[in-house]
Amino acid sequence: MTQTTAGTEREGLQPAADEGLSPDLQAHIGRHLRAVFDEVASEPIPDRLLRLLKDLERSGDK
Amino acid sequence: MRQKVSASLRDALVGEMTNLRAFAVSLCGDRERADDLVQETLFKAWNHLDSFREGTNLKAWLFTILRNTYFSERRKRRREVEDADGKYAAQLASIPEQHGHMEMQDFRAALTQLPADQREALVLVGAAGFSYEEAAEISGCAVGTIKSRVNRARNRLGEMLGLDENSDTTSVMPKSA
Repeated sequence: MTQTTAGTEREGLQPAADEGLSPDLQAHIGRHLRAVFDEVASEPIPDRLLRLLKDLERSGDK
Repeated sequence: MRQKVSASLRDALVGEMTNLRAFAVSLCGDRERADDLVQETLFKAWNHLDSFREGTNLKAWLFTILRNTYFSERRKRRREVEDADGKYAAQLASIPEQHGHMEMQDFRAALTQLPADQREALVLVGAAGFSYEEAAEISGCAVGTIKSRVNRARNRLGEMLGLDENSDTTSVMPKSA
């Protein structure tokens, strides 16, 4: 992975002052959201997608 | 058809695939279909690599292709959409997750109840690591629109999960970073 999902770039979901939920609850939602996302992101890339990449590369070489 | 693709660009593409998949699953709620979306995205990206300028934001470019693919398919199948959404909700909610965390299941189920555009905005900004500006560009809308979608999404989730000031927010499973 060249793209990390570390620290700095995960700070997009900042609590907004002008809305109903408290910063605590917003952070709570943020943690769940990242957990759901990361769960899938941590799965290995399925073979069929890797195969497609190989095929594309081969076709590009022609 | 594009010919030679630089090794670095190829590696970068592969590097984005896990995030792309996670985004696709969060949009459509179904790994099979998500992989179709990623496949189509890769295919399109590969054949339009000449329209991508190396050094610019590859991740945002790929996410844009994927969400456009998803939403245009969705529009085409408008009549089936309600059904698809219902099925989607049922699927996500019923995934007997490996980590059978009740709290996570509830959250996942609530997420599926959000309108697709709100879910998209929330995931782009809150999980995929994009700024509001990047998310706006990806979704083809104004920054203000993204902000309001994210806010509405959060408020909706808060309601559905029964979160209020007295909720215990300390119990969240810490996911290894």
